Amino acid sequence: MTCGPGDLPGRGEIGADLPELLEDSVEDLYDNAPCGYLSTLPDGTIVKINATLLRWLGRERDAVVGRMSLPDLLTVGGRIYYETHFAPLLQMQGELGGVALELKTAGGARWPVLLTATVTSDAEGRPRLVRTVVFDARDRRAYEEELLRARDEAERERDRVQRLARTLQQTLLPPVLPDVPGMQVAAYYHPASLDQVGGDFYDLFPLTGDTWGFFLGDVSGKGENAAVVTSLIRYTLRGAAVYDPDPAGVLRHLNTVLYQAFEGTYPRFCTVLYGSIRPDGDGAVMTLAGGGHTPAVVLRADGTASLLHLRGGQLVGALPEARFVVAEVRLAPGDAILLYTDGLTEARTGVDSWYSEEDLRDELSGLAPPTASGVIDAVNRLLVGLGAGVEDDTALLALSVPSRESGRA
Amino acid sequence: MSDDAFSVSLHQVETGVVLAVRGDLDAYTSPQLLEKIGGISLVRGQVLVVDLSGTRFCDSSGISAFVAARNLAATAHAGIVLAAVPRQILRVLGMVGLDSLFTISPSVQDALSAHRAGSG
Amino acid sequence: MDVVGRYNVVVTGNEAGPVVLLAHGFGCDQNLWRLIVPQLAERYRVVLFDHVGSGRSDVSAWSAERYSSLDGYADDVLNICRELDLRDVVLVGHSVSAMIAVLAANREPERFAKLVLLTPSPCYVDDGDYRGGFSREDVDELLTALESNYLGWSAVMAPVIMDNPDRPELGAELTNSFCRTDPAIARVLARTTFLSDNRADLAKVTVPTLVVQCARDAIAPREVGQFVHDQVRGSELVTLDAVGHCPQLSAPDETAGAIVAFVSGR
Repeated sequence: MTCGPGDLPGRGEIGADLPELLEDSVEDLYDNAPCGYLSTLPDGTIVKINATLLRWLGRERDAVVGRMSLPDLLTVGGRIYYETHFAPLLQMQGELGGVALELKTAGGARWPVLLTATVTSDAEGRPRLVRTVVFDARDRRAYEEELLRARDEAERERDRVQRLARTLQQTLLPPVLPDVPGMQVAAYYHPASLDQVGGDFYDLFPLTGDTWGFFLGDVSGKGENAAVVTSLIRYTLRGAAVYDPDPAGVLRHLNTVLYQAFEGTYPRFCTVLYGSIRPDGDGAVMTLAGGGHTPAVVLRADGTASLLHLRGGQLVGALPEARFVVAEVRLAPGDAILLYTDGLTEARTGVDSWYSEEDLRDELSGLAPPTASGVIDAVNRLLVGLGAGVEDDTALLALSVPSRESGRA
Repeated sequence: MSDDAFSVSLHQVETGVVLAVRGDLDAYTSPQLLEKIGGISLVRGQVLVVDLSGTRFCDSSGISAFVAARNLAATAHAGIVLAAVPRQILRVLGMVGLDSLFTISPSVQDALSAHRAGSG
Repeated sequence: MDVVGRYNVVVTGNEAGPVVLLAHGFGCDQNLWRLIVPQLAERYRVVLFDHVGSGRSDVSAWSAERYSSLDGYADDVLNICRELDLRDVVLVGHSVSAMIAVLAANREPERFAKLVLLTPSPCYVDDGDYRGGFSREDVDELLTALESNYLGWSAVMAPVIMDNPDRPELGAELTNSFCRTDPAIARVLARTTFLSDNRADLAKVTVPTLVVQCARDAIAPREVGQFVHDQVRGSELVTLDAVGHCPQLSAPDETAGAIVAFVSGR
């Protein structure tokens, strides 16, 4: 379809009104345009201004033309911006667009505007005039301020949530590990999210005489519900550990408490390793009970590493009567043991592959002699290497007996 | 990350219910499975078959859904079978000591016919 | 990264001539000197750079702590002089860099032959009898103006920059492409610039100094230029028949002329 001048609707009837309807009056088009027009000398002096802009400013033409400069129309802060950004940029580029500033009206009110300017030059290329278009930006500015406010609000809210999660997490983990005579201990907690409390936990604490208790585990789920369970587990284990010397008995007690607490609702349970350790000659003896948890890694002074499987041990809190499996391990000088949660061993290494316990064992063999802090450092490097593959929280707890050389030193 | 969006679907069959899981079972998806399980009704002698052929991964929160399904079946005196269980999930079930709680079957068909043979 | 990369140092001009180091001010980068560089380059070895956080400097070298005082910037100027082994330097500082130049010259006066302070102000905020020209509220208003404009800036620039992180030249094609600054950095620089008070440092200047001001400058009014001239012992004062805060753009011939006369004189 074509559309020539002859197709203008109703042209025949316009008659005498034609010049007006065809916008023949450039003067009127300039003066009453829906935006402000401003022409200034290179030094900013206003030489021409349209009626629209004068109306916004609430000023008379005679009081402005030849008497005021563009920066005079701005707020003081806007004037600094004009002198330090607008004017230099305009001089360098010859044009400038979309600069947000505020006009100050004769009545003292602020009028947000957007300025777009071009420089016209004389035959020798010297700047002669600056033409500026002024757009009313009151609505846009209100919208932007709303956006800024919403952004600030969201940032504050996020900070608050993260602070809360951090604080809560700290109450679920020991602030510092105690010193265990004759042993080196180290722990690490890697949260997968800053906004949520993780479901991993560990602790290390004195029992009777020279025996120490410790545990590390993982609650199903995360967030505030997991935090409730974690708190219950921590206090139950510490309480039971005091009167029951049998690690399997401690886990049975925990199983009863968890099963009863959450029976019938969303099932809440955990996998956990609970153990006690005491000095034995120049080394230490550890008794470890497993409730469905990933196997600990035992690292020997000569650099060999093995997984301590406690097969048949069931997770804690899911069944009325759960079975737990116990093993005894002797740590000689220079030996170490690492307990960890499955944030590490469930880290993805490919579309259909995951970092496994065996991978971890192989990675850690060769640390000779292994120390608690050395093991944690090595796993930390591993976590950094796995990067985004680590989607879950990861808790690590390592204990080691100093080697004979370092023990004497 | 899995390309497949997570989904759970329920099919009533003559001898019970087939629950088909598609996608990874983790802390974010397991609540959906739990919700579906909560809506299942079984009667004595029926079987609940959980079809895991469409999933590859399951963490501890996925295990909680399996336990919930097992408890539901036990309450109704119905059976429960995990069908087409991928290697990784078998491994996790073994780790948490729950492999003995479930009957494991190579496929949904095998599970249903074994159940018919057993109860018939 | 070496100093050349960190500060985007550009050396040009007459290798045999005296060294003229040009330090740009608040709001832009070394582009601001481009109209006077050709004239200066005929006689001098001209050294240009971008302050950390401005222009094409290495943004990763920026920290709010270091650059919340002008001392951090003065350190950088001395750093450039040392690394490039510049001696008998004529240091030209525009706007806030005039005070950065004063601090640098007071720390290592032996390094500098002469100072040129272009539209300087030692203190922008009024204080008792001293008229800097601005109040604290005015400075807050400036920060708001900066914020508003970076909203527009980010809307236009961010998609281009983010979609093409390996093709920074695309950004250069856009309008307002000079004086690109990270909004957070611009905010800190604005505060540092407009809330610093270096009046007491002026009397300590021992290097021969020229003060250049404009006849009409809303940022550094004439009485402030006079104050600087009075405080720096033995300084010369030139008032250009120019308007605005950037005479190197609005009156390049006169500005270059004043610098040449001072450097070549005596």
